Amino acid sequence: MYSRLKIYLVAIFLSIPVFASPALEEDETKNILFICSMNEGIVAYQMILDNFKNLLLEEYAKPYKLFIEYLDVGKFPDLSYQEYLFERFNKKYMGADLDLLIVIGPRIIPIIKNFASEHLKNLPTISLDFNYASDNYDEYSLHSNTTEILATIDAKKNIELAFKIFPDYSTLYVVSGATTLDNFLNKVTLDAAHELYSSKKIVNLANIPMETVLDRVSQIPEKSIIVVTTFTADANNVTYSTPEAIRLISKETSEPIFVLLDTPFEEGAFGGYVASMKIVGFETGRTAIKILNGESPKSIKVDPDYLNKYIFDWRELKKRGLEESELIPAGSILLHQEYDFIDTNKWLISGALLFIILQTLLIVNLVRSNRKQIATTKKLVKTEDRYRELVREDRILRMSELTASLSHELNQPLTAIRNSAQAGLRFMKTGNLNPEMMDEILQNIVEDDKRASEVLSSIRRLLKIEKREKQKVNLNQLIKQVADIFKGELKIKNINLHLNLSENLVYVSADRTQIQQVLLNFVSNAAQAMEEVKDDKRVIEIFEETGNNKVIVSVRDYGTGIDETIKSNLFKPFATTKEKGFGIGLAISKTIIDEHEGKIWAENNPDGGATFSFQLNLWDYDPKG
Amino acid sequence: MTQKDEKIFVIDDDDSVRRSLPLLLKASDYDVEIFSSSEEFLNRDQFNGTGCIILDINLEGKSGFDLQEELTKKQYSLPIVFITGKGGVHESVRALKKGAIDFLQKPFDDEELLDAVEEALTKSNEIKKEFDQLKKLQDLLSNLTDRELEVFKYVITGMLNKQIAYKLNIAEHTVKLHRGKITEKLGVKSVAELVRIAEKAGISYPNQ
Repeated sequence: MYSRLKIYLVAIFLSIPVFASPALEEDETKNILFICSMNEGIVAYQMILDNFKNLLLEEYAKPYKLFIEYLDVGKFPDLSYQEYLFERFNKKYMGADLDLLIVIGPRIIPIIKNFASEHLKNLPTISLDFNYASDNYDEYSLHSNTTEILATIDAKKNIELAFKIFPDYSTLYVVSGATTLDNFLNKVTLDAAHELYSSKKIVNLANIPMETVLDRVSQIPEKSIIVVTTFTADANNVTYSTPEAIRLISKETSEPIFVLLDTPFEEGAFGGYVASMKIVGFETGRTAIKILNGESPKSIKVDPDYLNKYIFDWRELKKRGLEESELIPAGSILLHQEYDFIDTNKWLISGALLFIILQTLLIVNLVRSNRKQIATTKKLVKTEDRYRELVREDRILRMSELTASLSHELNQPLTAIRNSAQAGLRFMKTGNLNPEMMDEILQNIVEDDKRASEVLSSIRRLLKIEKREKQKVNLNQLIKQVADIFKGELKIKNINLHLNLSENLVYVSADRTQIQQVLLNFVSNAAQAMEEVKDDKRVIEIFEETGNNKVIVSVRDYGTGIDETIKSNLFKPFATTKEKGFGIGLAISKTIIDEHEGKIWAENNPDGGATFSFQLNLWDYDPKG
Repeated sequence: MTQKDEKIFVIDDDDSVRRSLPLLLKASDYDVEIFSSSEEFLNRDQFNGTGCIILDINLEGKSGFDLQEELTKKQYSLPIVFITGKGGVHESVRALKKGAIDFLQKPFDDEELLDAVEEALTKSNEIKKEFDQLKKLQDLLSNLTDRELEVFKYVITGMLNKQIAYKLNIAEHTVKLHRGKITEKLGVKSVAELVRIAEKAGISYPNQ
């Protein structure tokens, strides 16, 4: 037994090199040569090649190299030129270790047969061409080692489709170029049209210069169908590609353009039952992989039916309200549907873009105006007006914002508290107040009360956040600015403002805008307090006292004075007798002055009105030192 | 006190209000259902009983006004009492114009709210009664055969049997039989009563 096993093992080892050597070879780079009969500008070639490469990228893990040659027989049909080309190719690829030859028509096989070297001719081959069934052309195979991939141009089905979708259209225009290929497909299409619809008017626009085509197309009446077969060159031998031709044609008419290939869908084609170059590319890729993996080309069959598809440009369908139509065959491929998503939502998208742009502008603007504000602070004298406006707007805005959100935020818990409490009272009255209910009600009240006080403390936090760097501030200048800000308003209200400032320069260590805010608040309160006062007593005085390394600024009015009931709570939030406002200005002022390690107070004057004052430390004075 | 069989729907996106307002309503023995958004309320099965909605205006998503409009479209006949944390005169006018019972500013008093709720319920009751009556009539009328309905339409114009027979191209005797059936099915005795039924149910007279 044991010795037998040994023999097996030996046999296995011996056999490995035998199987391994071809396996190794297969891992080497595969070389694939493409030869195309026309020039590289043919869109169909590029579609086939792109999709061929895409498929190999997905499904073929091994390395490979592509060589691509174009014969351009459409423009240079001279046989001697073809012979010359192949002399070069034959030499060029003589030593190349080619694994697969892929030839793409139209009508390339005879050329290869005539001029290619034995080396090239004997390669496993894939032959791509149109099916010219009606034209006595049967040279699709180079030899028995060939896989044929033949795309059928089904003009009949295409025309049937056209009149199925547009049954009441009466005229069919067939547009084609002037080359052999163009002529062939033109004939196929015309034959099919005549056979199918003897009652419809059929107009042939082929073998004429492009200018004539466009001129004729521009005169096509409504309710006409246009079939563009292929257009590789016009009667003046000017080269076109079919997509290019369709682009030009579609600019001249709004009638639906049916096509035979899927190449021109970028350019305004409506749709059709088409030979798909995309699928041909994929199938060529699949076939190539099979051959490279060792399958015999002859054994591989590609079903021509599989290469044809109903394809429509969704945008064109939509233009005619056909995007949901039952006339469009089930399973049709709809191109550019995604693109159209953008199209249909373009308002939304451009709206969003506009929004983003506006937002950006706003941000830029805000940053700019912020900088401007700093700059204006520096160049105060020059731009005093602008600065005045800015400061004022900023303050007013912040106040009214705060008030609005405060009232809303406080209203909710207040409502809830009142509801809960009154619910409790009612339960009690009806004798239904059990301990659980009471617990729930009181819990609610506590929760809502906490919420309310959180609202208030968040304001305080808000103010604390604004702690800013303190600077050396010229207090007299600051007071004059505030006076300036109020000049207009006081004039309207017929109030006189007197400044009584120290003759020396007074500097304090302060946040300029915050101190300004305190003073603004004092003056605005003073003005409001005097609304009911007789004209000759409408005076506000601002005066300044220095001493003891401190400065006191006071604002005095001759108004109604401070209401005794709120005097003790004057600097607490929401203590107000005013109809308007929320009574938060003085509270903010106190926070600011506290922040500056100063003092703030108010008194009623013996001769009427009130005086509001704050005290700050002078610049360079350290109270601890 | 017995639980009333009316239902109050509270729609407010504020937690505190959602907790406390129903308490107040329950203290007055109302059956309350609570919703935090218009959308949540719309997802509920349509309520066809007597009731009302206490609706916050400043809701996230669909606002109270939006909901009011949508309910009107759906022929949802529950009266609405609006509540708001900030609304102005302008808003309240708008709400009331569109058929709201009241417009209460938060914070409001229990009396204010409960009065509004009572008013809303009374209105809802009226609406429901009218609706039920109409439905009952329609049920009765649906018992009539097509021919009977046809005869009915002529009867209420005050035509004589002979005339109706001529109009419908049938025998006078047959008209008589139909008439008998109609009064039997609708449980009425006089033509006057028939006319009243037709008016209420919105049955039109045939063109003569």
